[in-house]
Amino acid sequence: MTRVRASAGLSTNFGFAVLFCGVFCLCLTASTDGDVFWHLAAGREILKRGALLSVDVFSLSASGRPWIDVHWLFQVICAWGYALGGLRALVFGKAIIVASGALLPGQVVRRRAGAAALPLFIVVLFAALLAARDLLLLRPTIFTLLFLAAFIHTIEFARADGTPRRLWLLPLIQVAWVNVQGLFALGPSVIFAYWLGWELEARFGRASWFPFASAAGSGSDGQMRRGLAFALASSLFACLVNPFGFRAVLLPTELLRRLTPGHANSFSNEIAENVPPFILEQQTGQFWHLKWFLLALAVVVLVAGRRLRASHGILVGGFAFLALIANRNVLLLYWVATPLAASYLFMGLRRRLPRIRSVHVSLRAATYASVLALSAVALGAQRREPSLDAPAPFRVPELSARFIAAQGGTSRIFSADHFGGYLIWKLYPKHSPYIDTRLILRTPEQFGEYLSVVDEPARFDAFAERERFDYVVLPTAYPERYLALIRHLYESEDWRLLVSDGTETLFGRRDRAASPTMNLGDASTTARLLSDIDHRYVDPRVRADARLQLATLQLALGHADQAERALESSDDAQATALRARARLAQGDRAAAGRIAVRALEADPNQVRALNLLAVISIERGEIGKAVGYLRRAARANPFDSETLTILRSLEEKPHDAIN
Amino acid sequence: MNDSSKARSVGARCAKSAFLLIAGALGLASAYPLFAEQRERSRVDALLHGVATRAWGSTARNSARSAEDALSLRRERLGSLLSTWEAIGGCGAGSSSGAGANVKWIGRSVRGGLFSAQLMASYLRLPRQYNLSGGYSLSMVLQVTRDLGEKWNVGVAVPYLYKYYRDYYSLPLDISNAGLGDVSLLLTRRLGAINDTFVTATLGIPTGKYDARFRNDLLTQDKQLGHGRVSGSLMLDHVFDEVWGLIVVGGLASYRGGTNEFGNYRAPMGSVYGHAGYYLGPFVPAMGLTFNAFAAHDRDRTLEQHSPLYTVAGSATVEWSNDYVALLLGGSFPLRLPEFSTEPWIVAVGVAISPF
Repeated sequence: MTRVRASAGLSTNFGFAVLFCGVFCLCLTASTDGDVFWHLAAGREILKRGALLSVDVFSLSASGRPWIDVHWLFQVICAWGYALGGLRALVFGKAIIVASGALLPGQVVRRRAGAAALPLFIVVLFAALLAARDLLLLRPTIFTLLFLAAFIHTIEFARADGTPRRLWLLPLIQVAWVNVQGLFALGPSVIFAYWLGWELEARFGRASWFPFASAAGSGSDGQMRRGLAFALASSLFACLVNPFGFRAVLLPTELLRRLTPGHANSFSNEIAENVPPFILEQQTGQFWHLKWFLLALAVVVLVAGRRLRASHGILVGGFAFLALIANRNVLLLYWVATPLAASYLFMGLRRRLPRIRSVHVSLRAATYASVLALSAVALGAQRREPSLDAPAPFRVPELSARFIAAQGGTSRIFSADHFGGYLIWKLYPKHSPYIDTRLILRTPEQFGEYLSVVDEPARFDAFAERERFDYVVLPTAYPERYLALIRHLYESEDWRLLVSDGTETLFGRRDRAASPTMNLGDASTTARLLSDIDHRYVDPRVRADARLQLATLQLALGHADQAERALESSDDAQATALRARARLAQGDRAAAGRIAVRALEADPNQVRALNLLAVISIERGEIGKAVGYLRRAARANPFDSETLTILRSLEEKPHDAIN
Repeated sequence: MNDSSKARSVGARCAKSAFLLIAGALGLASAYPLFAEQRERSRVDALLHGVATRAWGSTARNSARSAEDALSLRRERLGSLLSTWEAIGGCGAGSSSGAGANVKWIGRSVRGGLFSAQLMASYLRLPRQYNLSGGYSLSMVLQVTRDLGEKWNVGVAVPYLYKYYRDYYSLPLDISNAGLGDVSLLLTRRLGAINDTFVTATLGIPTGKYDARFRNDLLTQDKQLGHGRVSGSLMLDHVFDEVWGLIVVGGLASYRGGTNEFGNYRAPMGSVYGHAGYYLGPFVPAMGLTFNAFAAHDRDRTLEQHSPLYTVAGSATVEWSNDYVALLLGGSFPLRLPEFSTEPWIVAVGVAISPF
């Protein structure tokens, strides 16, 4: 008996160790997000001044505007961490926080369903986090994960113990939460979900129609409900314990309003992380896993049957709703729902398959094998990750920032919004970007104006004149939205291309920039840039991507011949598609068609090649053929916007047809 | 009527249906990408067919320039941040599900999909002095409607009822009755240049059990799930769409079935009402007033019941909506006239979607 207990304890600790290590490794990714840099800048400024920032001092478009910086504690921690060990220290810190947080739901699973349920939970959580790991960013959200886990752990253990004593922790955690992230409203929401579920169980639990588990009916239930109500009230009060008082409490409603999808809500439609996940899946294939997760939750509901607690249903339903309205919340859904779902699933299976107890060792071995397999996949993905000491490639304007800093003086910079954080970090206070990703500081009209000058470059000149920009810093890709503006500036008399490595461009006002314009149509420039790329990037995939970006930029600027030079050593599908377009841009339809046909031989459903062949057919007047190619492209991907745009160009009545 | 163990099994069926509903909702959500893809395929196929069947002649090459401009340098790995968002939604009163619920759906609701589905769950509390015993009634009405062109709309409303009464005839015995109510078919005609006036004809089909018994004792008609007779109503709504919100005024004339084979009688009634909702971001709080008049008292097996002849009801609702889904929470608080005594109040929650 003692030996069984010891091995059970050892095996549980091993499970937790596997969980910690697995999640830790998953989080070791280079920073891909520009937000961390304005956090670092703010933390640095807070430590320097010895006071919080109450107005924006970093950007031009919100200069002097009141800033409810609820992230101040995160920013101070980041600034200290960066001073200790740079970006690497921050990434390790992130990994420790998230991995530690993952242990808490593991304990909940063990308490609810027993240690035997741990392997199932570990596999499912690991798989969910692996699928959504691009959301594990270096952001205050990592603390939200920790605090969410702590809230649920505290309440679940209080319920299991039958006493509300532990609940006094919740307002204390809430005080920390409200000073770290704007999602602190989730804390009281979680308490409310539990309290509401408990109340429903108490009131209707005995009714035969009540679909959820009934309350135990003991005296401690009433005590727990009162304890939860008190914890809710005190957590709401704890939200006021921040430097901004009541103004901070109102922040989550504004954030929710900006997340709510709708035609007129540019903050939902135009910001990648706010786009609903099912829409993003249509555009890019991301979040394919969410529908399977929801289906799995449906199965769990069926398996759990009337043992499902109302509080858990309300909790998971709420997070599912948040996940469906904005993809940034998918991680929260996985984090909250996985331990509950795993425990219900395990308990349901154990009831229905009693023999499982006798093969639990085999099952545990199988699940640990799954964990190892998933770890191998994660490690494989990890090996492709760049160094943790620097940001992920192509995400920050390193070259442009260095150039501007070297020029000295002061300047006003127009840039892509996600570049703004890095420019602030590197160039404040002498140089200021117009906008960054603190969109809570911008009005919808300001953001709308920013998007309109990007999408309609003809508007840019008047806008730049009004705002007196000295520099413009734009990316080639990530996203490719700015190519039209880059072309406009490249062709403009008023701007000079000062520096580019193919992945970012820096333009300076002609009357201010002493350097000559960089000519991306020059063969020697292309050769130099390709050499720089080869020296700079060791990973062949990153190098190939950089060449692709250079070729894309050159093609966008009308230098198709140089674009083909940049693609000489690349033969993947994207490079082939771009090469065909370069050929078409030079008027060589036949060669473009041949390249596209070769691409289709390798992949008959390659949408880019099909669209190109459709355009060539249209140019030749062969509409039937064009429709055939477009039909194939639509069959491969009915959401491809390029296919639809070509189709619509055919739909519009040509002027000559009106006789 | 069933005895208590049968009532428990009815309740258990109800509970099972509820978590099948929850699992079904999750399953439907997970299936949305599949349905969206099918819908998009149909749409693109229609575009392709339209292009393929045009007589192009010499104009074909004129499309070439714009087609070439359509070629994007966007790489497949990245998606454009310009999301396409299917336009669903729009302002309007929306037709409320079920004639019984005095909580009217006021707000933006959701429209524009293949069909609209609205589920309204109402809780009506019966105080102890009413019907001698007291209890409560739960109803869940699923209303599915679909537009037929710009002016017409058809639909069906399916109610599921659960009625619970305490101390049946002052005995220490609670009874319940649950099941399908009278299904309604709806036909709406929109009038006016901007379709701001709605005329809705409803036909009630006697699908609800109207002869339930408890130990051979026929239950009173208010405890039954249906009336056993065809019923009908005509409703007229007009919507004033303002910048700040909306105002809905209207009236209803209803034939509630007359007298059935057991001598149960439901008197015809008429209503007039007005509601006003205010746009507050995604929320629409609304308040309203409804005046009801009945031609006579209802009768239970020829005996006149103490049903009201005139009532006035104040209602308050709040709706939250986006392009996908609308949620409603509301209550109705009626008073009997001319005594101004309280009648059973109603609390309702609703959800509306308009998918695909």
